[in-house]
Amino acid sequence: MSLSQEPVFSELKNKFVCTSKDITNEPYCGKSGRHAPTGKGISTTNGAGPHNLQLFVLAPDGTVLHCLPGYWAPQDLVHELKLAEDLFTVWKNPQLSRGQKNQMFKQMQLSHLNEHPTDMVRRSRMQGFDQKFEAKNRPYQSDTVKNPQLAVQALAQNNNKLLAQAFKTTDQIAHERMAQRPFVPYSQFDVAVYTDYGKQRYEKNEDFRDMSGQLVMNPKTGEAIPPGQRKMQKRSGVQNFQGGRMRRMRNNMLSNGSL
Amino acid sequence: MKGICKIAGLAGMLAISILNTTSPQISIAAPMSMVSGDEALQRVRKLTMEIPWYTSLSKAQAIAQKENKPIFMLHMLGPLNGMT
Repeated sequence: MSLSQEPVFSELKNKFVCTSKDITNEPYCGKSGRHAPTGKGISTTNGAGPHNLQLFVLAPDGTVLHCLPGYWAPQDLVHELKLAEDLFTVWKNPQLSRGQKNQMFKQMQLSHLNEHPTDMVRRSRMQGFDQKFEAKNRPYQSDTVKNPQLAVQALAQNNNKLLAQAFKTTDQIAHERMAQRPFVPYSQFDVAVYTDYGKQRYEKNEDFRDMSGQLVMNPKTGEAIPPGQRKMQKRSGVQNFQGGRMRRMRNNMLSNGSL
Repeated sequence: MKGICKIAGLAGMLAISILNTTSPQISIAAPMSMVSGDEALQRVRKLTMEIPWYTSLSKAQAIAQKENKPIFMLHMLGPLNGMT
């Protein structure tokens, strides 16, 4: 869980009052397999699993300062917590009118995008299965799609690299959506609409993988997969930017001892 | 010469990947980074034992008001320290 990792852990411990809510029975809640506290974890991309996990920052009066859908890496989450603290300062300022506060909220949300480090943007690539869902079901309606025609074309060609180019990153989606929701009371925050992208089900089958991430058991049958038939999970997020050919070359050189 | 440069480049990439494993800034993006069950349990314990988590929003609001702090609210499928 990224919340136990620095630098975000100390931020939460020292600067926030923390609360949690089990959303199992909420209408906006997605689906997932069951995971025990002793189950394995796997790294994923920012914004993955938006229906099953939401990270809110509220003012003490219950006003929503920020909300992030899904998982966020600790080093990226800490940037967003800082923005929420700045928005809290704006919200508390008695010198500002509500209109001015709303305007500042919108500006700060959108301009924050420009401050995101390149690595953060790379970690914010939408999951491939979520991109396919959007491209298949609502390419021309979804605000997650940057280039609908490219999305449709990439889906038809089953070209994941091209598909990724057709989509906004999840950090952009989150800030654009938040900019439309300035200082909304938590009780009125439309979680279902705000988190609406991708499939309802999020499952990485962590407990069926070995520590290299390779699937070693069939998640449906629970039977062991013979070594020759095992496949690595498709790489996602940052990994796609690292170049498959170079990576394979490096791995080959490592395995044959030439490096 | 071109081949040597390529090897040097690959060695550099390897060095970066080794550095990545020790750098909290980058390690989260390491390819297929897995966390063992024991490590996951330790993380959950740390999170739930070292930070007080209020299950009532109104209680959290009262504390936040008193301490002039914002509230971090985690929506999740299942309880924080149990099956999710």
